[in-house]
Amino acid sequence: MRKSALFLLLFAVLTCFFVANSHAESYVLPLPKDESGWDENHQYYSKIYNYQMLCDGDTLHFLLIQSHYTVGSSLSDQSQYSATCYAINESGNLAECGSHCGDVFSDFPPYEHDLSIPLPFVFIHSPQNKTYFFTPNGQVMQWQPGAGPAWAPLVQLDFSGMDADQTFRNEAEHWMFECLIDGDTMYGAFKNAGDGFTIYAFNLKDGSRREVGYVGNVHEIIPAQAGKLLAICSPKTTGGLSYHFIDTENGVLEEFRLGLSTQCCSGLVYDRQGRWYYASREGDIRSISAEGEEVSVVPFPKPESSYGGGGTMALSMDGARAYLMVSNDRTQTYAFHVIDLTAAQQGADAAEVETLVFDGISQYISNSFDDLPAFSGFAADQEVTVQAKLQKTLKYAKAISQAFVMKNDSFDVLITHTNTLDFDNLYEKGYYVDLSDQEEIVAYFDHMYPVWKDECMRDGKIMAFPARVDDYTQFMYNTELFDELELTVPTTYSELFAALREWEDMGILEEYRLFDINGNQTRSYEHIFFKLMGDYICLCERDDRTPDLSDKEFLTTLEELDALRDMLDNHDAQNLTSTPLLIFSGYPTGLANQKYYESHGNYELMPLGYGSENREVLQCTLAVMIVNPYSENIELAKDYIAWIAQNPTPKAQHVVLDGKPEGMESEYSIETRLKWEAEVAEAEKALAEAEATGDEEQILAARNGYAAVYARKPETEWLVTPERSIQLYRVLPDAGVRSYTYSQLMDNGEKAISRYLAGETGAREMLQSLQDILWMMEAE
Amino acid sequence: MFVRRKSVILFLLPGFLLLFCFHILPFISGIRYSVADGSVNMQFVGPKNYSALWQNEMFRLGLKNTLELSVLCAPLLWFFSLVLALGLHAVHPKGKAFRSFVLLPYLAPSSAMLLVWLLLFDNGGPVNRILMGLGFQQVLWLEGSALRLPIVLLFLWKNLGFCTIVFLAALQTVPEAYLEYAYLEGAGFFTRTFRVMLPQIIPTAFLVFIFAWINAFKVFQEAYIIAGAYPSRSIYTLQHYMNNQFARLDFQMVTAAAYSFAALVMVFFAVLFLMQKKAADQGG
Repeated sequence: MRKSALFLLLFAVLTCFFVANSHAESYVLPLPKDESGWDENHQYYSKIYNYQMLCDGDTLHFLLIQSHYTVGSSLSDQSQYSATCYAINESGNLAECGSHCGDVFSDFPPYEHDLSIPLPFVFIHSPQNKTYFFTPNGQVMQWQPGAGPAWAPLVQLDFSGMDADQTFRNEAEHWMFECLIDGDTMYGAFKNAGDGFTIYAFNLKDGSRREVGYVGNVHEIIPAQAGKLLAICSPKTTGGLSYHFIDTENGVLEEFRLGLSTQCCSGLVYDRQGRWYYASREGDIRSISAEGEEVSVVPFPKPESSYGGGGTMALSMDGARAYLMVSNDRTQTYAFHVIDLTAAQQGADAAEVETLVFDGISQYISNSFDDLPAFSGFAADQEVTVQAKLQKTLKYAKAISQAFVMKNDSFDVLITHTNTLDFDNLYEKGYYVDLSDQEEIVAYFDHMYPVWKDECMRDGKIMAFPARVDDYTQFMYNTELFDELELTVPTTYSELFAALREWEDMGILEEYRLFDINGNQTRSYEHIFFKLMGDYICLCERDDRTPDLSDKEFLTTLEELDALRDMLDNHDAQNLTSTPLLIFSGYPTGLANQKYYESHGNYELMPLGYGSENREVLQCTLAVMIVNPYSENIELAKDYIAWIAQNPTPKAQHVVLDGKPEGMESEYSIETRLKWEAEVAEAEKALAEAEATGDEEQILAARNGYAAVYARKPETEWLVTPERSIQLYRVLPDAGVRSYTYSQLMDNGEKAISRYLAGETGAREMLQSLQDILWMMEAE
Repeated sequence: MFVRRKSVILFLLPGFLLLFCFHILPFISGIRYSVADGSVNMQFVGPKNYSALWQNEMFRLGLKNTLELSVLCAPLLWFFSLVLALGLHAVHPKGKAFRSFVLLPYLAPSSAMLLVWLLLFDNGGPVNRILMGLGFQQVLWLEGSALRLPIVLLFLWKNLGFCTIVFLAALQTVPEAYLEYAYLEGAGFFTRTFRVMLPQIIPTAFLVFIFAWINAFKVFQEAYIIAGAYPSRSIYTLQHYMNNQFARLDFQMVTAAAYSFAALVMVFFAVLFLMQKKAADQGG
């Protein structure tokens, strides 16, 4: 009897184990190694530009797009892209199914903005179950189901005279953000010169174009019913998605919102029977009717991303089954789900979900340090291996503490953010290696922006080297609009709040959008709150005093902001299309800041300081490199950082041109850049002349000359542009750094803050809770 | 005899090795951190860390709260599990199914159960709705000192089942003959329970009491999940202090706090053990 029971128990355990594992297998994708970079002679550059994924039935396709550039070539002949398509079947087998060398786009070679321009391909799914893809120069190609791409262009679209912003340098190239091909018509949303999107319809037979209408921030375009499209916009202040029914003849007809969806959706599929399906980031496939009725159809394991909003997804359906590709940014894996949709629709308790987990493709997944591969150039110089180990956990402080307490010597250089660790404590305990004996690093620090320098140095010792700057929330104002409307730029929060009321009374806010965060609608109240709070604590930290949140002046300011809560949020939610008067720019949008500077040159930082003394603070955080004191290769690690300091790697640049203090000369400046560009032009001209002679020796010499010039390229564009640094420096002469205290307070006071922001408690109660936390942190 | 002893040692060896590597060795090696200055070079500083620790306001607050919560939780757990075990024992054998049922909360993962608890005690949750329905005011259970009540209840709910089962097992070992004899002598329910049964299960009662105290010291997990690293001062426990010190690289304070607390706990249990021994000697 007892034996039988034991046997049964064992059987049950084994059955559970096999059932639990029968649908989850893990594969390491045998994708090609990313060998981006220059060849050893600096003659040839290639880079995996990006990739696209497509669920085609039960096969997953990866389209890897690579750019190639040969030094000495002009833009039009030897720089090009190549695209290779890989198909992965449900057993995890990989096969190459076609490759293609394409035409030149104006942004190749990628020496300008290569980190910010969108992909040169986008997939388009038609309701007729056909898939196409599109390139920025207007070529449309067709995807052959089960076979991959047909590379010969189907048609060349007419882009002449479009009202579209200029993402690319060549006017004949445009980026289509969302698109749909329905029969012979292709509908595409192009970001227009204003703030919205213009939808154009192209005839796929002859490439001709007509305008359809304008919408706000297009997330997806899908067919709604005969003669109508549905443009779906991103979540706004109120949460949920907004829908625009677009009459293909007359433009925008109607807008309505759906409050149920709380997160961005992805992969909308229309079933041609009046319902749409999408993969929600909450972790289920949802169905929406034309009337806005939304139901959850089938759950799947919730995706996760480092930003908390869920990973990327792609959904396709064939009626009986849904194929879903979900990325998990935290584990850096992809799961490919095959879901029995029929069972789910019939109300089965648990629809079958088959899952394949693809692991080991992190090199194709962007992470917060896109620039790490560039640092590996050190390997070529020193014949050493530079290996980046990405820490998956977000609990940096504990992970780092654990590493130090265990005297972990498995890493040589640690990259972390200054605001996640108490740097003073790190310094006191000696968990760093002083870099001040490295001439190159000292020289680099001599030119560094003072605030960042202060953050990395203690008592004259260089304990960290800045790898990247993330700028935190800042206000920028539209200089042209301010001039035109004769508005005064506020210099304190009280002045700003008074001005907001005044602008509302004057009717300015009816015409112009008040706030914008990097091109999207946002909760302006929250952002002002965070900036106000951050500024105050940064100010306290800079002045070496404990923040007192019951400070009368601070509390009054916060209550003034409270009084504007409804006005700010309502306005932000309603006004969609006008030019923004003010912009918030902030983390994690360092790149977006740069783009804003490029596309909106008429915005300047608002010299908004906290308190009556009108002192300004700059909220930012640095990603820094620290040499592990327990490393066995300390000298090599120091050499590595010195190499980064003296070479044009895409590290944080600290350029000052105007208003710089004495001694802050920098080789990186606009002049240096312009001078280099002139040299490049000259070298190009010399090369063309040499090529015209046909003399091989001359050609080789000219090519080498060009390569030498190109190798001296001053890297100034990444994250902190010369213009940007000038702006910061002009208006922030007495800046302080975003503090560790602020970061800790925000993290630990999350609950109190969220209750306050949700309107459940007032400013006083929230400040009391936060003050309590500050007291505890201090007392510890 | 020699062969038997050898085989016993062989059987014990793997377990002892694991215990040595993962418990005894870290416990001993941690002492080094508590008497060093915490820098890379680990300079010896003697009792300096201990002295700084005992002067730290938050350490004292954490210790006080931990002890207060333990004093509140452990006896309550002991008492309620005994009462429940007696009840289940009385309805034996019909209470067999219920016996398994009471163990369920102990098996369920704390983090999942806490979410249910959070919903129950949310501002607009069922507990507050019942209070309002009865004409009382809403209570912010998950904030301030009010948070103690949900934490104590959660602790009881989670550990009650296991302690009850241990008590029940002990109660079932009490010979029926003693109870029948007492019954024939005219002893009522309470006399049988407190004069006959309880003296028989004193070692188990002591064990449950120790178990309840040990778990009460670990009430941090619940408090941390509900209120984070810096909760209200009323539920800031010693482990909050240690956890936060670890995150800011103060290993020396973490270890000093851990050894101080371990010493206190050892003294406390030694006293308890002596009391139990004395009670057993008197009884026997």
